[in-house]
Amino acid sequence: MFKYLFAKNEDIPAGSAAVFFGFSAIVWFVIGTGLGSFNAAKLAFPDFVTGNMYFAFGHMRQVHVHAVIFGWISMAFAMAMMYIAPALGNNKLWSEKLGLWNCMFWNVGLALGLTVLWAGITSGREYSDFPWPIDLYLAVFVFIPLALNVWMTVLNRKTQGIYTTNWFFIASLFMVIIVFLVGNSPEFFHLSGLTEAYLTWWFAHNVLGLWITPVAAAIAYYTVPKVTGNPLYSHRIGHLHFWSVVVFYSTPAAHHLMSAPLPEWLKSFASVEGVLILVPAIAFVSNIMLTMKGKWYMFVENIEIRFTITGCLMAIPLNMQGGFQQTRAINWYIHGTGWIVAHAHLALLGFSTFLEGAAVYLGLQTIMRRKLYSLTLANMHFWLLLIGFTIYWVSMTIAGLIQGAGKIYEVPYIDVVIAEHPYMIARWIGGTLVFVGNVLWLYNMWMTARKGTEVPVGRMPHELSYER
Amino acid sequence: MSAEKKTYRSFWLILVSGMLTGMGNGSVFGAAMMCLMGRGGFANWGGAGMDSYNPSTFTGFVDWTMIVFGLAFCVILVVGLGGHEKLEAKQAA
Repeated sequence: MFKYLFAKNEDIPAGSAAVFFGFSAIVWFVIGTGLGSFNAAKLAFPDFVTGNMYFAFGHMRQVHVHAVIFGWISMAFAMAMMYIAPALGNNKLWSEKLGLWNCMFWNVGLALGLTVLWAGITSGREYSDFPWPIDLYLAVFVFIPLALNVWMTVLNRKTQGIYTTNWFFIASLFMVIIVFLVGNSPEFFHLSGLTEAYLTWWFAHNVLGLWITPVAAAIAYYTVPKVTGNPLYSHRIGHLHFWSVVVFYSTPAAHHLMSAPLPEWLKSFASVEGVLILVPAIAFVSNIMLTMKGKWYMFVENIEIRFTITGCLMAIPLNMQGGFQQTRAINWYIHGTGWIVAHAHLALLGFSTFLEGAAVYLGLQTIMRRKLYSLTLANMHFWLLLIGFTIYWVSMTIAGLIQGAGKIYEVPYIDVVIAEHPYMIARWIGGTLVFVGNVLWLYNMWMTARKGTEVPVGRMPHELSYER
Repeated sequence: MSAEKKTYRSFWLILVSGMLTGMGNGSVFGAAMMCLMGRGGFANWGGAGMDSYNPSTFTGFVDWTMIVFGLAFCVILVVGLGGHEKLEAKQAA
């Protein structure tokens, strides 16, 4: 891959950047979930690895968070964009070379940023913990080149209209750049107090709402029709999904700060917007489910569809929780508890990871023209991910409810810690299953690249049977 | 894929997907209900040990709501997917 960095653009095979991004994403997923498992072990067994500040929970937690968001999730998005945008435009990626350098700078910047965080140099603002030079680096060398490449690819398309997936791609890239630059302004301009708090959550929520959620959904709009062969059930519902995300989901930041002395109208406004997320959510889930008409057997038989539909199903509890947990009454109960941690994992490890997983499985096989090395390993990956995640999510939700009840009943803190200990152990087991699944995935995709059966031109990988 | 294998896989998919989806919705319903009803006496917080599965306690009520909703969603999936399969079989015939 590195040899192409200095090659002429026309000499670089199509899809090289996507393959580079795909494997980078999987590697960061293994690292991110490995760190997550380690951190969970520290919560489950407080005496596990003590005495070294670099292995303290406070140092490592944000490394885990940033590795999965900006390593796994965002790089998987970049991978999906680099092969789906040209596929839908019936053309090539605008610049494979820019894509390769983009991936290179991304890996270097992220490694640097995580090292800095690990060393304890942090802005201390959740989800935007990177110090401001790293934030600027990510905007200039990561998101802007990616946006340029995708926008130019869509502009140079050979098809007439722009398919739903590409709307989401081009809009989300625009929005994430704005979110990155404006959301980090407290650091650039030394803003403090409520302004900093508000902008911190404006950043954090919009990274989820205007980047992760819409791009993950956009992937499903591609994978389901592509793999099943069914046309998208309704482009009009796709329109509704797209515009309602843009309108309702750009301002709910204050719902993270329901007890802060922010203006009451702002909190009420944010809360109402938060409930209105149900509009795009229901539009998205129903559209995808109806697209599956006549092909439901693929939910059981096909690995990409199984990943995609499971991710879509998770959008239901995700948005029911998300829509209502930020209303004042429920927020009073569950704010600051493990419930929120469970919900965040439902969004990132549940909903979006399953959709991206499908994109990476499909994309790597399609671009490399190699059928998956082992379907058994892929099935094991799916089940380890799903069972591990479910154990994690259920245990953390219940732990959160216990913490919330403990808070309301003013139970001594240590009693709450003792009560939730079994759930912390369950959380560690769940997280570790996810990590093991990802190691298997990395091996499977590596072997696919090396030994996968060649896929003939014009065929889909899942159409071929295994020869061995 | 054989019918037996498909049933086996469907069973696990329905169980996990149904429980997950239902428990998510149940958690919201249960928490909202508890907020509406308010707290009871200190002994009813239901946080420690098996008390968190005692439906008469504050926490236990929500936990049980989650479990019941989870099972209900599994039933919905069984009925829905079963009906769907019949429709598809009819179309195929």
